[in-house]
Amino acid sequence: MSRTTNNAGAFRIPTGGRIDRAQPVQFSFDGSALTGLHGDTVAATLLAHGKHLVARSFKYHRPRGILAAGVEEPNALLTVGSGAHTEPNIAATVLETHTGLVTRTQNAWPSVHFDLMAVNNLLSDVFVAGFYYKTFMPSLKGWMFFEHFIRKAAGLGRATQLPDPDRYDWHHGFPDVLVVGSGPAGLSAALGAARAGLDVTLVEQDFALGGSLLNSATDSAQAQWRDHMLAHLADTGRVRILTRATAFGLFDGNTVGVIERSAPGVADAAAGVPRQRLHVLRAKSVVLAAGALERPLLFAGNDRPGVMLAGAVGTYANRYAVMAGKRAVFGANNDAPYADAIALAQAGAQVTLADTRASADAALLAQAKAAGVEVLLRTAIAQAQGSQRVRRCALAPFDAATGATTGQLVHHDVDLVAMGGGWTPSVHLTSHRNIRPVYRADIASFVPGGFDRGHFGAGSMVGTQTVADAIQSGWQAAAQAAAVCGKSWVGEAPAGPQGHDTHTGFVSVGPISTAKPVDKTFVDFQNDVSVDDIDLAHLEGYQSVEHLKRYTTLGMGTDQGKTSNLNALAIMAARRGLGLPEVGTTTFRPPYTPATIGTLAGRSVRGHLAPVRRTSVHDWHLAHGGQMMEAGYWMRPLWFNTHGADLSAAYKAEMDIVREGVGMADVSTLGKIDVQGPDAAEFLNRVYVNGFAKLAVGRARYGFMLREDGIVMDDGTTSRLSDTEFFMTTTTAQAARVMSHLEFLLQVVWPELRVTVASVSDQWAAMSVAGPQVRAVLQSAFPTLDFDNTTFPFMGVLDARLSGAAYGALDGVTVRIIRLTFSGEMAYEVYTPTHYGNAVWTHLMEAGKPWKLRPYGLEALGSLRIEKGHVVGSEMDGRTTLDDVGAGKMASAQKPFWGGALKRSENLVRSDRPTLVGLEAVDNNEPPNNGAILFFADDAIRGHGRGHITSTTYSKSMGKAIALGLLQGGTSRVGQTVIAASPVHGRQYKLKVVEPCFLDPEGARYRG
Amino acid sequence: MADTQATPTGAHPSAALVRSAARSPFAGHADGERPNRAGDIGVRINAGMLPGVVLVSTWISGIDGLLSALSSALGSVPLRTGHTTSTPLGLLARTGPEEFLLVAAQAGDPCTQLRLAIAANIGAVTDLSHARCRIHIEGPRCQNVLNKLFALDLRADAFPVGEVRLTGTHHVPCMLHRLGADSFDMLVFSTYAYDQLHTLVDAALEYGVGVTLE
Repeated sequence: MSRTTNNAGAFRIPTGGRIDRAQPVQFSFDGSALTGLHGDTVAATLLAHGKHLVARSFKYHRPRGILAAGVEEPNALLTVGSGAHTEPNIAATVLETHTGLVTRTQNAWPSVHFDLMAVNNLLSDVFVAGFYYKTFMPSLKGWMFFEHFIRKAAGLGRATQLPDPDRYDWHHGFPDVLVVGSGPAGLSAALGAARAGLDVTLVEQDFALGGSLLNSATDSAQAQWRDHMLAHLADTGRVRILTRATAFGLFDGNTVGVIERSAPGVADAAAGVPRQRLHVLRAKSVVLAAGALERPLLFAGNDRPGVMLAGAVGTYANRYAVMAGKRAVFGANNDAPYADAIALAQAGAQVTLADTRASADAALLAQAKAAGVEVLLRTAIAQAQGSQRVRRCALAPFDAATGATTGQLVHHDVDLVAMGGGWTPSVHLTSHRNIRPVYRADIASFVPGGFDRGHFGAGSMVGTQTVADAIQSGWQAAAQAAAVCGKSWVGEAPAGPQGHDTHTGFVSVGPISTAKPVDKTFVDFQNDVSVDDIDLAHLEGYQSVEHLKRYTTLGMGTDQGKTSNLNALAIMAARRGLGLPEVGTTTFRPPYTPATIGTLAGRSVRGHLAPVRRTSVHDWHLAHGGQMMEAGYWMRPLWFNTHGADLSAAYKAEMDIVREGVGMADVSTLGKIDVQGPDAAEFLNRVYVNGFAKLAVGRARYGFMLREDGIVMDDGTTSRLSDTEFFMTTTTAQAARVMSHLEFLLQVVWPELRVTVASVSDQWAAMSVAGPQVRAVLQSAFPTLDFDNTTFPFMGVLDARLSGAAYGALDGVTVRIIRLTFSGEMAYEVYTPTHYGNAVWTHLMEAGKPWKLRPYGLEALGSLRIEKGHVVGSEMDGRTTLDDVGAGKMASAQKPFWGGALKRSENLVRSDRPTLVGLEAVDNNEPPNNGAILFFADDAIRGHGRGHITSTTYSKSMGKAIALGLLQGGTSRVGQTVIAASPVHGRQYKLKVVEPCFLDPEGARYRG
Repeated sequence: MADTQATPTGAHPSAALVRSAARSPFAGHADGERPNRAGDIGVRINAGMLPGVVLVSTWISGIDGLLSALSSALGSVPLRTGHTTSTPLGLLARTGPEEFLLVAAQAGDPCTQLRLAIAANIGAVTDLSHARCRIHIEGPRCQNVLNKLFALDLRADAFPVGEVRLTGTHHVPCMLHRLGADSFDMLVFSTYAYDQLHTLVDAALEYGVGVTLE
């Protein structure tokens, strides 16, 4: 690397690092321009410029700095972007710098340097764990009042309310082997699996591969080993590498959720390039090499800006060529921080290392001495002091036997304190599979308590102590994964890097400073949970780790306690006089790191939220004023603006069209099922409550089918086309459900029946032509067919192929016509294969002009049927019986049918069940609200009432508002007055109970 | 009834596609090329109606009889679900243990022909010619596009050329037929077809997409 020649920061080390000094990057931080280098994170650039104070804490608004160098960062959370692109709570330690990036600090006012809310810190002895519960919760009213202010005062960043303009996507992948993590174990596993001839996907949450190897000097043996491994992986041609990709959760069926973030500047919504992509990876085998995380030490003032994790200090020095400080004290209880201290000292800093142990590895001590690091054994950090930056650090002799500091404090003037409190295996992902971590005494750590079938672990995640061991364990995991995939190949593991192999640093938690506290000792930095809070929770009886978590909020938030959990568990264990295994861990759940909702939604947003289903007449509707609405997935015309200026006017006009002339509705959305087989009639006879065995060929019959529990499932009309074939129609809403119900009955209940069912909903377009003039219209449209009442009676069925010059373009087109009614008028349903739907519709419209045939929409369709008292989904709502909807007499007593047994169960035959009635407005012509609760006239208007309104409309035929409802006593109450109350709308209506069929109960209009 | 064109029953209204009366569900959809930022066209899509599609199925106890009848009528039948065979009437795909889908190669009336070959006590023949449409997708990035929508392993060893898979997106069924390494036919439900094409094109934008409609 060349020496830095630009303004990349006063703390930038002149050589080394995995940064491109030739590529300066300028971005905005709190409105000021800041120059970093390509390859920096924002945290690295901030430190390079000596900026440690970058945040205020969650509750006390204490000054906070950068603690870590990765996803575990609890403090340095920034708000990124502006306007609709604003995204809060992004850790500066994982945020890549790029030109144009806009960042700002959060949760402080007016700034992190002078935050008025820091007054909370003065009251921190009051705001202890449980303060809000104890103070505000005793009175619900009080809580409702104070909650607003509490939430305003606390918190992290603020999300934008604007719609997210970015694009997100999903990708389904099926690698043979998925390797999570690209440290030494992950690289080894990926290479092993690839050399076994398997398709491998390697995911790494960082923007560079290498994991812990990236933290070593670029000219080190470990760095060279990484480069060799990447070359080997490329040579195999079998490894798909995803960087910036976090395995955020493990799910059933070897499914791993991976969120991949686009590199800076790549996302382009207009060009279809997503900002983030969710990979749903279903691998035959999974190798988890998720690594380990370093723990802070516990001493007073350990949250001051400038107090960092030791490994992070090493990472900033080696990877980013940044000195986090120039006068540093390292606290250690293991070997690992020595390398970090040495790296900083070699960069020119004055470094003291306080090691609580009585001795350390001789080679390490020699290296430290050679680098100028002053090592103090049997010494611990007692406290750190400073306000917006650590200024002093007190060291004290440490007695390993008592675990306490003793003697006089020795103060050091510092600008950096590094904490090396030991490492914790990252057990989160296996925990997602409900596998609890287990404690390994030999490394004083929790490790995965096992793995799902086909999953294997490698590296420090499973407790390997050295790079060499990690490589070996990765290779072994690859062999196991290969075996799962049916490969028995076992090659020789790659040799590890040459030179000294530092131990990872798995040690017991501690020590916890016992010096007289001058400040709080924090355990969970993000949630401002201190040792005192844990003590208080313990005293108050919250001794389970799960209770501790919820009482103190420890382990919650964006970092999910990655740096705090084990320290907290150790404190609780000590207070309870138990070992860590007895205390156990809390449950880690997905996501491992924060996931944007946009990514989880993927492409299922806006116009792609749900599939859209269009009838063949869709474009005609649009061209003729159809006002479309979503009905399930379908788009249907609710009304036509050619019939009125608004819905209210139009649907009434459309009702008139049908009642007085002739109208046509697009009913292609009806479910249609082809039922064939020698036993088809018997099958339908069992499915429907009424008889179908003797239905004549060429005839249709209306029927109800029940669920197994006796509740009405659906109604519809089924036509017999031949001895062995039927054409069933279902309601639009229940089409899929009825189809799967029939499949279930045939495959599970009556497999002996020789019947098949097939959905033909997409095969047939359908249009309902209704009104007094319908015969004339149809006779004109289909002159070769006969619509005479005797040859084509009510419930008759006709299949025909249109033939002859009279049909023009329709010559050869087939139609199926069924004479039935939904509106109560004389009506025919005309079916034709879907691709002809538009042509047949326009043909009918043209033929119907002399009779002023007009389309009508869903609102009129529904209102017409209310006048006739026909039930639909509003009445068949999954709770009603045949008797409830007034169809009890349809059930055959001569044959069994599905649902017949439980139909008679005690609760379904109760006499007080609400049953179908008609309701008329008494003194108000405004239709009552759907769902309004029905009360008897002398009832108090409260509670669940006596039933409810299911459907409501204004009836032009009746000249008043009408409704259908379910009412206790049903039609026995005809003539009585009831009250319909809608508490939601604050309205009450007086209604008269009538028979549910308001119009032409004899059926003269449709039978004529 | 007035004449034999109007038969009350039994005479099945399946027939060859009447082009003069047919309107494609894709009508009105945008076509043309939309290169990606690099100027590439990563996938090409062609969408249109099918000349004929017929579902042939039977009940659990009927498969032997159906296999025999189909063999007699078409010469050969695919023996495993997902396999296909080429027949004089078109591609015959086995879509389930007791279910086959015939995709006609050219205009005709395969439904009537199959009804003649398969008696009602052997199996069921259902015309789905208007219920399915075809979206053809090909190009070096077509697997990337399909894997955005379908949770289906498209690797060649899991989904060999010539085979079919029943899959779906957003709970909407779809049959994929692999024609080549980077060439697939999607048989989609007609009423969803326009939306499916719209979704597919949107998913392909980042790779560049060219659309033609039949």
